[in-house]
Amino acid sequence: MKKNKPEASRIKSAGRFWRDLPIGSKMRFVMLFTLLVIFASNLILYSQINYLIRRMNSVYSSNVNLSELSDSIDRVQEDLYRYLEVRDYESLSDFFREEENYRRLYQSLSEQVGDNPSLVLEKNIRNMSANFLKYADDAVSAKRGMNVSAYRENYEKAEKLYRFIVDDIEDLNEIQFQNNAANYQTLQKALQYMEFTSILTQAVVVLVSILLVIAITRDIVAPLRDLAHTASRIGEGNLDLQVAPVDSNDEIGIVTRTFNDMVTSIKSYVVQVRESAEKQQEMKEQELMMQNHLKEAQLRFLQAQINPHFLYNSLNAGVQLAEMEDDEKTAVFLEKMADFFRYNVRKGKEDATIAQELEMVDNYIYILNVRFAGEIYFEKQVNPRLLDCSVPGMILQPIVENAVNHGIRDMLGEGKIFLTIDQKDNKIAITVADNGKGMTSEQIATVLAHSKVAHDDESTGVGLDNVISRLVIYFDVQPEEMVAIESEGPGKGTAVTLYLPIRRMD
Amino acid sequence: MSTNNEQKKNLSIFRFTYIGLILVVLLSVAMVLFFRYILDISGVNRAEYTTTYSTHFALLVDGTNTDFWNDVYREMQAEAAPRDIYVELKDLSGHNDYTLCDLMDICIAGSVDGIIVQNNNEEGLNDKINEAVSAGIPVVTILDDAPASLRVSYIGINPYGLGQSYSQKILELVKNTDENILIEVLLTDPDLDGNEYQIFTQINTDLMTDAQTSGRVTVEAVRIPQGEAFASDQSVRNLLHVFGDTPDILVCFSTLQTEAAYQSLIDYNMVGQVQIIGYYQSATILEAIREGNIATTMKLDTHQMGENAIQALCDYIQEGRTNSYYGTDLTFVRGEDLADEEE
Repeated sequence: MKKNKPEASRIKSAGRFWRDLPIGSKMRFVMLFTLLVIFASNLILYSQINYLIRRMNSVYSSNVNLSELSDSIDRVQEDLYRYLEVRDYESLSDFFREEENYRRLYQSLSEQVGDNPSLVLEKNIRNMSANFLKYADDAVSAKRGMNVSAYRENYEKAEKLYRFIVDDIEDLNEIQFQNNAANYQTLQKALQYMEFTSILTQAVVVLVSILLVIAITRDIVAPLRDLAHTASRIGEGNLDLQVAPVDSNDEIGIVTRTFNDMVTSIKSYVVQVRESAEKQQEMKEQELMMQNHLKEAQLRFLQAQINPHFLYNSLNAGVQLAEMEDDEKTAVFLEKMADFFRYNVRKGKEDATIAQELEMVDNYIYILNVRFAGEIYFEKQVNPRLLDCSVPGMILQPIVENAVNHGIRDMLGEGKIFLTIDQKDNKIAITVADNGKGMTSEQIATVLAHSKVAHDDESTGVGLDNVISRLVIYFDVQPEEMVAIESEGPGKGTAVTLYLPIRRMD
Repeated sequence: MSTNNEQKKNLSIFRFTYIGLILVVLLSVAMVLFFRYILDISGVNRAEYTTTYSTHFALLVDGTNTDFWNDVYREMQAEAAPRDIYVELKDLSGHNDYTLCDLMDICIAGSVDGIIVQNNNEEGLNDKINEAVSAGIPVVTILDDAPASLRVSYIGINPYGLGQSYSQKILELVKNTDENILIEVLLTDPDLDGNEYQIFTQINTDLMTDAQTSGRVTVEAVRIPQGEAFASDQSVRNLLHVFGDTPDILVCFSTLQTEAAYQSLIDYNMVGQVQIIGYYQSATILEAIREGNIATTMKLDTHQMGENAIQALCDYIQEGRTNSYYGTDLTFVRGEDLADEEE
């Protein structure tokens, strides 16, 4: 495994280089590479076959050379004989010329001796030829010097060697012919084998080249195909798709990365649009809910009072009647009643100031005290700087009504209600406390959980849950941040506190 | 993940390229090697594998006893090769009708470095030996000596000693009988001074003078004409079938003669009736001895001969002198000896 690491890193760096190569260069590389491999293998094949054919052509050249040698020594012998017989100048010049030719020919023979019979024969022919020419020269010299016995003796020696040389040339020729014939046959077979192996090699080279071209073009085309496929699916609306990241820095790598960036931008734009639409939708829903609650409050009020306009107009008529009869108390009572209902009708739809709300509570307490003959003790402490603060209409009276109905009604002894309005932590803290029958923690939790509370028939119709709901919508805060209900237990009174943001009336 | 896949793909492409390239290169190398192999086995490159030597000796023999001389030549070459010497074997069995003198002329003109020649007592051979030695080519005689020439050494047997060995062998064959014995010695060498005749003379003398054989053993010499086709075979057949008394023992001086005599005995159903003392060893002779059909055969130590011949020439070339005689051991091979060797 360790051995493979350098190779793997080499391949990796080669891979890196390859990935960063432009497509045009890749294609050129593939073409050049395959062409070079095919060219190189052809070159090797060509050189081998060419060498073989040249060897085949030269197989019998040694026999041709030997024939030439044999012819040459024949001519030397003939020219020698003729000169010795005729002693003319022409024969002599022929002899010398042929002697030179023969000397040149036999000197090409091997001087070496070895375990190859051809080599031994060549060496013998060469050495005997040297002696043959020496005797021939001596014979010619003796003939020119008219030394009859010497030229005869030398001629006989030369003639004897001539016979030996011719025999040896024949033997050598025969041996070489046999060898060459065998060589020729073997070379012919070798050529056939070469044809087969060259076809095989060419086939392998072509196969490897084709596979290489397929592999590399697939490598180039596959990311493009992926890109096209992904683009088509994204076009169908599937924005979550991405093209597989490409590591290369070629054209495909650049296109792929740009495409992915584009898809990401489109996706984030779509998310923004969707969020904005959702927000608008949410705001619309809030508005609708607000209207619903108001309508519900008004409906309850109308159900209770049937027709407040008619009622407070009637009450106003009652006020005037009481004044005409100088019944001041009745007039005041009826006036307060009329103010109470008017306020209900008017402020149910719009914002009110703390002062208006306090007035409404005062009217309510007055009415109750008239009804119940001054049984309710009501005490308020108000920070005068908060009187002009804006709050949703009809929020204070329902809480006080709650304290009356659920706190001090039916209790023995004097029922007391304390209203405190002050600024706390940059908020308006409105506390309505009673000394009534108090609440259990479960009851507190239930009220705070924004659950509906059963309305008494005598209720003016706007319950605490309605107040809380409207405040939540109005100020867009959670109920628990805005409403606190405290009670030390049954019989120990209850204190409801609202914490409202300070908003001044325009 | 996909980057990994891509890298893997790239790796596989490069591996594939490498493997493909390696395959092509291997195939090309295999083709070139195959090509060289074809040239080698075809012999086209043979010259490259020929062992060459710096020194050239020639062994000249008369062409009879081919098996024997082939053994001598092989031993000689084995001894010569490590000394960078090549020994060329030339005999008279070629198609050129050469004589030993012609072979000597060829060797002298071919400027060999040394000659080992078997003296067949050819006329003029002594002069040729002298001519070679004068030309600076040392000559050693082998098996048959040319004592009158300037040869530097003789490697072979002493005819006197060899004759005595033959006598001893014959005595062993005839000592257990009182009958008259006719021994025919087949001579291939017509020369009265030649080894064969001297051996015959020695056998005759020994058996005539020995108390056990004197008077009842007759030794005769039969000349086998040389140079005639099938002369050896016909002479033996005549001896066994045509002429008077059938010999009890045949003494042969060539392998060919031994084989011809043995075949004749088989043909005339005389195996066991006529004993053969053979010359050297061939597959046929050894088989016949193993079966008891040939009594014994004389065997020379060819290794010793080859070694001594090369040694003598090398000594002379290097030091200018050498022993004038190197003896050669001989043995008579019998069936028991072959059985012992096989065991």
